[in-house]
Amino acid sequence: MTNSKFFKLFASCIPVKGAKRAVICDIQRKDIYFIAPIIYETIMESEGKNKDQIYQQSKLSQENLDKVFNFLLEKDLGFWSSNPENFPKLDLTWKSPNFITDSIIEIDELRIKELQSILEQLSKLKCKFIELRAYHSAPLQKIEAFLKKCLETPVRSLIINCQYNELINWEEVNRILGTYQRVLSLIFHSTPNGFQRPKTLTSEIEGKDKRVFFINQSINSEKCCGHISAKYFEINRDVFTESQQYNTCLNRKLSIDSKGNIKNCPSMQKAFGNIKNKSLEEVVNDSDFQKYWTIKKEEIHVCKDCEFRHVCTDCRAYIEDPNDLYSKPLKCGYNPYTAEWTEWGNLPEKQKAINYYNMKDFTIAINK
Amino acid sequence: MIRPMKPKIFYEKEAEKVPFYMSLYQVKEYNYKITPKVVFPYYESEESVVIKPKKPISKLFDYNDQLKIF
Repeated sequence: MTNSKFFKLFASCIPVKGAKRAVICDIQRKDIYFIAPIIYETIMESEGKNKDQIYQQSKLSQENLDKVFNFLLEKDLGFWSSNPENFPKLDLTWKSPNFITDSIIEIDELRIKELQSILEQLSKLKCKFIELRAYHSAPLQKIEAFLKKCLETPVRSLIINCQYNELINWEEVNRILGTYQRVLSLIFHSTPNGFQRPKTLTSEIEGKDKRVFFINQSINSEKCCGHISAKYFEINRDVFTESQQYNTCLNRKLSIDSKGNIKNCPSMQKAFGNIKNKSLEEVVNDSDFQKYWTIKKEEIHVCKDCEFRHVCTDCRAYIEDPNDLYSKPLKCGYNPYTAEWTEWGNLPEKQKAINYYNMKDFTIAINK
Repeated sequence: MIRPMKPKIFYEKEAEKVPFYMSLYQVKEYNYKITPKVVFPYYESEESVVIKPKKPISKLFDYNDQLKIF
């Protein structure tokens, strides 16, 4: 008796092969499963073959094939079907109606009027998410003026980073968060040793979703950005599909640094004008500005061999070889050829770039 | 075939044991514990009505051992 069933992975469970190992990204349930390359090859070779054909033609023994398919069934990653044609692959095309999806604004030195003008322009570009950064202050008044203006815009949510100081009025923080629900997180950096959360931050404000955070790390310049860590991995359909054709960090991102310079990201060296003499729309339509949007992981050295390439959000501002736009992110300590993580600041191949970006002190501080 | 959602599995628990499919084919080691803990919940929690970004807007935080989050 023949077994004519075909094995199908669920459309949302997509295998990605790395140099040393492979993963199955479950973009529906936001999970990731590590698999050995031989399992990846078995899955690939099984496509279009029924069970009998798979078992006859595979290099693996029947016992090991049973283990492979039992694992996939047990983890609910796939199923046997007599009608595989009914289960096509997922369309991995990425589209967005927003000309700009997210924006970073350094607010330390920008005036309220300038911020409001930036917001009006971002609104026209249908920007959905904004991060405000204050490296050296906690300008609550300026932030509130900005948040008030946000109510009239398509901005859906904001993340705010401020420097902690002892003079912050927590009642004021409570009131602002209570009034402006679009603030997802208010993060105070540079907290002193022995710091404890202020008791006057009321639970009604925080509720189930904590919104105020304090961290001891000092976020004192744009050089703090660009960390590649598993904590930043995002296993979802948006990132997975966007990464097929676009850069998952810079695609449709626009930033304004503290001097008003318009950039892809505050950490990028190149500015495409200043808010004083150029509109954001002009910059967005500049093909030179858009050239970073399409640098996908398959084109980046090393990353193209990494099993995490469709869940990692990259960094183009700080790279291993500043003269090669397609080199690996500087602050990534993962080696896909050994499947090991190490502290990036200690790696010999990074030292030249660390000097180039003048990050020596920065990495020493991290390693302390 | 309808594939329902299910409660999120926390990877730390799974990583404690080396799964057979890694050891069987001598993949060097299962050294990497993926730990997507909810730290800043702006793109993790799905309870809030506020629309959240699907990915981090920036990567400012250095999640090393020294980082303390209150």
